[in-house]
Order: sequence, then structure tokens, then C-alpha cells
Amino acid sequence: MKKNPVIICRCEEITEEEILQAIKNGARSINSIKRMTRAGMGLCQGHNCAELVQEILVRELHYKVSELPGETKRIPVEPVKLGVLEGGDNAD
Amino acid sequence: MGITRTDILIVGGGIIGASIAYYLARNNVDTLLVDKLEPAAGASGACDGYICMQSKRTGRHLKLAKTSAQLYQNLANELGEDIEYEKKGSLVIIENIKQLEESKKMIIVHRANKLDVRLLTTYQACTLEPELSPQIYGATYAPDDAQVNPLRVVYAYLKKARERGALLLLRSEVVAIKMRKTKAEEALTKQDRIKFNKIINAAGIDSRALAGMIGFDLPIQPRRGQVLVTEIAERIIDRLIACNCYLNLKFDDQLKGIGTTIEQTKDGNLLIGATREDAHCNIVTMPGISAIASHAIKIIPGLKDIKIIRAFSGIRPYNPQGLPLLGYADTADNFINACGHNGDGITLAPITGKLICDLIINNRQEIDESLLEEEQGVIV
Repeated sequence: MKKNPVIICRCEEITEEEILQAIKNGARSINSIKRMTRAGMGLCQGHNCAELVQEILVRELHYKVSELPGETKRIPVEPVKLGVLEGGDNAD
Repeated sequence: MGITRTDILIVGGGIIGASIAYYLARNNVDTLLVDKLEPAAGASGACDGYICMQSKRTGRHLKLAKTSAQLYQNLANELGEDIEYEKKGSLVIIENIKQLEESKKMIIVHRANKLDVRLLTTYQACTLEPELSPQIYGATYAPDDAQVNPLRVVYAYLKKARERGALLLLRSEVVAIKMRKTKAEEALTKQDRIKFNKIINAAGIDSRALAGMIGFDLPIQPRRGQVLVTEIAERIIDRLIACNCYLNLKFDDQLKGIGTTIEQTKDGNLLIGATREDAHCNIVTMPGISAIASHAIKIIPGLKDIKIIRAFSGIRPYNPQGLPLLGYADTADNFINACGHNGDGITLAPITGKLICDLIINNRQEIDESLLEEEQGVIV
């Protein structure tokens, strides 16, 4: 009986298989897995899947959680309309 | 600590290093690529995918861009991967009379150099792209400009390179280069020693530090570009949109501020960029985000209601000379620079790989300019 694929990143519909493949291809961090598979690039920006990806990394690579290369946290913390952000003219 | 030996060592696993690795491996050259982190962890993974010719200065800059853009056209086939390439064309928006006059001159020069760029009226531009503000003065339209997914390009280049025997050494930062007289011999990382015949500096923002290890000073400075990512949206724009302030054919040493680019990716997200700041820290800032937002909404007012889900920033290797540094460094016989691409790294990756590979396999002293497309125009 064929196993159903396990979805890790629901926003982008990335399966565990795809993440394992990324690790096989050299990914060793959440950032790298994100770049290679898009896991974490969706609407929730990894809020739901980052921990799962982390678990997979720890399991596959025998990391301690504290050894794991961090993910890059960015604003906005949640989606915000572009119109709310406008107002500046220069980057400084 | 064991010693690894290779013929060519490439330092840097961004799009430039990946391209060079691909070309060399394809030509059966024994190649090892080393990166301090992982592929595309630098600027190549924190940018947009605009392959732009209409922003380039006449002469070598434009020649490099045209030849590279040409290589992109068949790259997906060549690499056997979907790199999300689309030759969709770009519109550079004109926002005032001064820009309109400059654009008219620019078009004459570009067309004399056989680049297809057309001046559009407000009406014409808004007909092509209905989301554009009717307040604009018009646009310059380059139908041959294109879009690609830089991450896919990096991974596709490296996949093919590895298939052809190239090796990757990741999470290994080169901290010193041993020289014997005028020859660089060995690269030392925290955990590895790599002996090589030639070393290629494709280290992006770290290329200055690497060159410093052989006593060569590169004039490369960090130039931060912040970019916003929107939620996936229905088709808002069909083409790449930039503003006149993005054009670096007006290149001056102080090219800073906001260079607006708006790109809708294959997945449907928009990438809205970008700041150009003298900064080396890849954080995002409220003033930066705010300024990007203001400029973008001015050109496409409907964007005020689109949701931003992420901001990122990448540090581009700003080189005041305006052209990438391609060729042997003076202070060693076998150290080749392939760096200083400014904001043109994505556009110029294919031609950089080709030129550097040619330099090596044909034992040249300098880049072979004849590999760049023939230009029958005039330089004005």
C-alpha cells in the first residue's frame, strides 16, 4: 500500500521526502532547506513548519538543537499591507 | 588535517562560483568549490531575478549583459532544469520631465547599439500594464529583458557541475592562503587544507578579504539591498517594472537611495525592491522598507492593498569601477578574480562562467573580449 506523502510545509505543500532530498543534496540548515525547497516561504513564513524542519534536521543529522544553524527571523511578524508601511523617502 | 588537492579551487558558492564550476566541469577540468556556508547563502539568495539590459552603460557593460542574456535564453535546456526563465520584457517608468528627456537620449544610444528599447507614452505604458499609475510620464520598454529564479540557477549549475565531477566543500571558510613566492599554493580553512593549481575569487562580498590574503586590494564595498516579498497574488504585472532611479547607466559613485524594481515571480509573489545603502549588515530596517513601499505605490497605486509577508536583504559587492573584475590579480600568478558584480550578478553569471572558463582552458593572460557579442554600433 502506497504511503501518503507527509506534508511538512502546508503553505507551499512541501513533503518530508522533498526535505530529505534537500538534506541529501547538502542542506544542513533551515535556511538552506528553505532556499532549496521553498519550505518556509509561504504565507505563514515558517510559523508552522520551522519546528518540524528543525526536528527533521536533528533526527537526520544527529544535531543537538542548540547546534542547529539558526533561521533568519525578519519583520513583518505577520502580513501587513504595503500601504501601511509607506511614508519614507530615503532609506535613512 | 588532511590535504585535499584539486586543479581549480573556486572560492564562493553563489551564482558566480556556481556558473564557473559548471563551465569548468563541463570542460572536464578538475574543480573544487568551497563556500563558508551553503550555496546561495549570500547575495545570490537575497535578490530579485531581473536580467536587465536596458539599464546598462554602452560599451563593455552592455556587451557583457547582452551576451549573458543570450546565454540565459537556452540555459534551462542546457541544464535540464526549470529555472523559471521568462523573456517577458521590462518597463522602466519615467516620473518627470527630466527623466523623459534623459530617456529619449538613452533610447537613441541603445538603438544605435542594437538594443531594442522603445519609448512609450503614458497611455501606451498603461495599456501594456493597466496597474501602472496614470500620473507617470511614460516608460522605456525593452522586450528582450527577462526574469529568472536565481536560486534555481545556482542549484542547477551546481547539480550539473557535480554530475561532471566537480566537488563541493561547504561550511568551510577560507581564512588564509599560503603562497610560495608569487604563486598561491594552498587555501586554509578552519578544518581543511586545499592545494590547487589555480584559485578563483568568486566570494562576492568577501572577495576583498580573500584577495587581501594574497596582498591584492580590491575596491569592493558592501552595498545593502533590502527587498519586500508579497503574498501570492493574481497576475498584477506581466513584465518587470523598474523606475528610472534604478538605471545605473547614469552610474555615479554615489548611486544610492531607492532603485525601484517590481517583479512577479512564477509562483505569484511580488518582489519589491530595493534600497542601495552603504551597509554591511544584512538586516532590514523600517526606513528602508518604508521608502521601498512609498516608491512602489507611487508607480503602481494598487499595491497599497497587497500584503507583505517578508522583507530580506542582501549585501551586493559594490565596485566603483562599475564593471566586474575578471582576470588575474597582480600579486600572484594563479589567483583569478571573478567578482565585483555590483547589482549585476544574476544578469552576468552565465557570461562570467564562460569567460573565466575560457581564460583557464585556453591559457590566456586576459579575458577574451572576442567572446562578447559583436557590436556594430557607436559609443556615444
